[in-house]
Amino acid sequence: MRAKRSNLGNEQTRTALLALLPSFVIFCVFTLYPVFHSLYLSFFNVSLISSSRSFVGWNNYAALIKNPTFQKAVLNTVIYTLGVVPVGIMLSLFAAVLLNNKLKFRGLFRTAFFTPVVTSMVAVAIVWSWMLEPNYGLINSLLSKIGIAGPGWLTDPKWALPSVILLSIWKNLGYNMVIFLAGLQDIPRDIYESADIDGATPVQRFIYITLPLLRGPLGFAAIVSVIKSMQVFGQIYVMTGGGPANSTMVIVYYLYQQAFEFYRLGYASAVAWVLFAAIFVLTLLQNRLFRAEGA
Amino acid sequence: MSRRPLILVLILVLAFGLSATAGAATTIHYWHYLSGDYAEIHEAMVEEFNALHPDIQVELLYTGNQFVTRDKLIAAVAAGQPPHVCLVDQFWPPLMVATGALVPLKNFVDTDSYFADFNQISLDTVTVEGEIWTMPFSLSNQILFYNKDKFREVGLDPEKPPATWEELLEYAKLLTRDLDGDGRIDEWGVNFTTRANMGAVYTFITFLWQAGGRIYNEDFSAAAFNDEAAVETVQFWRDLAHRHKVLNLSPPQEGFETGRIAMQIASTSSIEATKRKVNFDLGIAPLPSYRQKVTGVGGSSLAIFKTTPQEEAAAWTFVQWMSSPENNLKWSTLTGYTPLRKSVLASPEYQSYLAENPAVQVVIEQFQYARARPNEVSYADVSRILGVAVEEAVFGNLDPKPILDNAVAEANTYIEMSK
Repeated sequence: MRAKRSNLGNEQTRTALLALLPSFVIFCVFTLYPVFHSLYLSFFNVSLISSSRSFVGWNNYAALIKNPTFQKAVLNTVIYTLGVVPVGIMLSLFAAVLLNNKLKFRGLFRTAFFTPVVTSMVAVAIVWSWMLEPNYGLINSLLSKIGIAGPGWLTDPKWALPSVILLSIWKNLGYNMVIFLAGLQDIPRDIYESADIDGATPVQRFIYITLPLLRGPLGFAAIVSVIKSMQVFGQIYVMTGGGPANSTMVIVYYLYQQAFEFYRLGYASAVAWVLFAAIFVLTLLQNRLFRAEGA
Repeated sequence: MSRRPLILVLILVLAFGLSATAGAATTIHYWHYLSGDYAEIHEAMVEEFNALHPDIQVELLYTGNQFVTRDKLIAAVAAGQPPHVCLVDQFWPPLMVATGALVPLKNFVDTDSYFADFNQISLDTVTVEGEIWTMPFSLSNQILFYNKDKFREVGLDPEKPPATWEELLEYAKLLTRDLDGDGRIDEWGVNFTTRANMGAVYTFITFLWQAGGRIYNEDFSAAAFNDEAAVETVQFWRDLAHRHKVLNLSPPQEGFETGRIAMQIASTSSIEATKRKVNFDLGIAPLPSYRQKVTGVGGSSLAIFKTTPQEEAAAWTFVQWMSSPENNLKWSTLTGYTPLRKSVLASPEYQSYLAENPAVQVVIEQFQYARARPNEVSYADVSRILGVAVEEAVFGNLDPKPILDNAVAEANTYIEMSK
């Protein structure tokens, strides 16, 4: 009986492996190999346009740390992440709690919040560029109606990064909201009912019941949002091109520029691995943070 | 015995095959990025070449705009599959030379005598480290477009465009107006590209040269755009934008064409396109100048990539034909681009064209003080750093000196790396 079962298991395993093989080959060729090849390249002075390459050890990494534009990109990425993640999570949690109640048009609201998530980033970024356009744009037209002369949102170095942050918060709101909604529906109703009997206010219910029981979804949302924010690229590429004056230069845009405008593949690979290391450490830390008390 | 007929057949097939190859035309793949009216004129030239050269067949392929074409070309070169010939923009030759995929023109001809008829500026744009690498094809420079109707509205003489920076500022102040009295400016005096990632450096270095400044030092061993002239130039842009508010750093799209901007610095290559778009009295003038009269040069050339000797020779025949005296005359008079050849410029046909097109006359007169960008390998990095520095000072409304000092230090690391 036992032998037969393991036989069957083997056969199933073999079939499963066979079925997985094509996608595994594709994964190896287009993901695994490039990932490790980029690690290899990061120790070389290699250009996309010339066939010569020379081993430079850690030089790419050393040059990177000293480069003022890269430093600026790191700073901007940190500011962007700090701007997008906490505010974004608070807003989406707020939206989720509201939409968890029995509201009129609840489905409509949920759809409205989720629509930006499934819309293409390029399309959304172009629409926002037009809304933020200083001369004819919707936002400055509305501001001028109440007597405020709006700035050049994407052309003023002080406003460009905040404008991109605003777009990103709006774009990702629905994604976290759906995760929180799912989490909220998992919280047993009877806990709230007994709290009501004890005379808890809505605020107390939120702080002492909802928040602790949402630890899992909160942790997930935080980790995923931080990873996504550290890798921000599309909206920068479309809306600002890293400018003006590098005010929206972020790590991945810097990487892109070095690799595909200046053809420095080795150096750009080093940027990619520094970013990977940073995200890896951040994710470990967050994982520990959200697990420690929850377990 | 039974093998013999087979061998005979094989020999026959081979013989036919070889003779067929010998008789067939050499195919030249030619990539370009021209669109609109120019593309039709250009295409007609290529078709004429094919009709006149039965042994060479040029296959024309539009590969997207400049940026897309550059990416495709780099990818093709990296893959070892470049086209035989590609139209390249004025600042690509150093990059293309660095790839090692170009055939220098000295392989085909004695360049000194062959290019004697070409004007110096057209050769400057295609010379890298003392050698001519690509065939000049079209040549443009920067000019001032202005709206004569707006000049009349504010009481300026429409036949007297600004000749100096001082006049440019003075006129721009008059032309910058709040028409409905709501405290917001509706029309701006002057416009040019100020965004680094949209090519502001091309405009900036012209201003810099006019002020007597420079990008590199004498022997190109270091960056030099932090001297007094450079600071003064950035300060002039900064003042136009912030102190006098005559330059809008977020200009309305197509602001000049729609009459919301009165003067605009742009390339001569957009003369025909601008003419078609505007419904006001369009003025074209030489660039206003400062200590020196200078205008920046743009344009394109034809690059030949390494293939087989036979194909390279066919490619050389083709690029020679494209910039021959007859075709250069045709191209110049049909598009408004400046002639490459002294003989074309002096020809009676071209002179009569100038007489009919006084606007083009302006461009030609200005040409004597046109200056090409330095064809240094480090130029791509140095110009990016310079562009961002200018942007930082102008958009951030900051003191230019420390920003330029930092930028020069950063640029120097790239210049060292390129040596």
